Amino acid sequence: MMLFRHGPVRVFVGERQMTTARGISRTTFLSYIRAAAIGLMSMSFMTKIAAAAEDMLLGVFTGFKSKDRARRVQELMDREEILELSARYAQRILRRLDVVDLFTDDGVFIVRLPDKPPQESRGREQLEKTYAAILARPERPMPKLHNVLIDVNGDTATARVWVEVHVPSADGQRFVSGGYYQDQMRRENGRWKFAVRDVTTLVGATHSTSTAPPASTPN
Amino acid sequence: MATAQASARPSLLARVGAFLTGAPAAQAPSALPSHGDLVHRDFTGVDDATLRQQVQELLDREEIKELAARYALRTSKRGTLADLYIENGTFTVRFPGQPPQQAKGRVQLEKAYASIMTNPNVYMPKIHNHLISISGDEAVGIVWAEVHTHGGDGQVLAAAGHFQDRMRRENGRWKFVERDFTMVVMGSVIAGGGLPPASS
Repeated sequence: MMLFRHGPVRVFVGERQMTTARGISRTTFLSYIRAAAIGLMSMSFMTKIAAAAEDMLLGVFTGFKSKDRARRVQELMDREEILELSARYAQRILRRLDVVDLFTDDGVFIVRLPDKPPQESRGREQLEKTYAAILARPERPMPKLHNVLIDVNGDTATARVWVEVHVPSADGQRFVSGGYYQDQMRRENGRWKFAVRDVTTLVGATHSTSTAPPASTPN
Repeated sequence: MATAQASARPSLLARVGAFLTGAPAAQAPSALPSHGDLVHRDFTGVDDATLRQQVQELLDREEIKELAARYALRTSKRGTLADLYIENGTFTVRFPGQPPQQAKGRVQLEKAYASIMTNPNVYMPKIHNHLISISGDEAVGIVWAEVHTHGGDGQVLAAAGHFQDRMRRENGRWKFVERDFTMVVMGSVIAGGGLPPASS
């Protein structure tokens, strides 16, 4: 995807940076667009959208651009609320509480495990069924969030959040997985909700530790 | 156990003074959520607030997050912790299957933390998933914490659980009124003792 700022211009196709230029002309800029478009034509539409969102977030900080003071403060509040949305999701998963109300009515939850096709739950009914199954498992997953990148655009936002999940179990084994959420949020009735939670698991392993099984349930 | 008063309404004089000076101290008092509600309910940041109130809320949230981070960093560096509490602050630790252990007030807090700091293990708390709700000069928070130790065998998980915090602004600074730590996962380092604070 493409990042166009007043100074350097960088054109990416997928995760590969194709070229860098400074002070380019309109013609040169358009040629970069064509080059990017040709590269992207080989990708599926959904992959292109996902790559675009990811590259935009990983590229440069996009916050507060062309905003007056009041709107910058509002963006700070939005960022704070979006951070807490993810943290609240994690705290509820730990406590085996319902999380479906943190999604919009047409919300989507996608799980991508290595070497498996993506699993998708779309809409309130499917989300409730999926999370009921997750929360009914005997183990208690403990998601921990790091390295949050957020891009707010009016009443929509995207975020990328690294997540580690630790699961204590009765036999002392502790499954550990690491990956990341690619989130799309939408403000509905004044509150930010997940429109899409797309989690990709990159690392999964079983570690033996001296930990005891959980013995108390958080309030 | 000491608990924060949720209805810390500023005095009439303070509110008049804040009105005259334009200071942001005249926040509308509202009941703080319980820790359970903090997880259940939506974000509790200010809605329909003035720009000044929004900025104040953001500053408060930043300071409260740093209070928890400062506590964690001082623990790893064996620093003092009692001064992060108000004078009659309370620290409670709940081990699985055991009655809660509590230190209350500056003297007991100093004694409890001094005991923790003499432990040969260096504790490194890592905090995640912070939820905060602020009402005027009072606040509640929940934050997940993992405590690792470093030793000859590398990094070992000592404990994992969550803090349920109450904070108060005193003399312009946020402090803990109460830190209540519930261990959900307990490693052998902790199970062997060493962490319990002085009993009240």
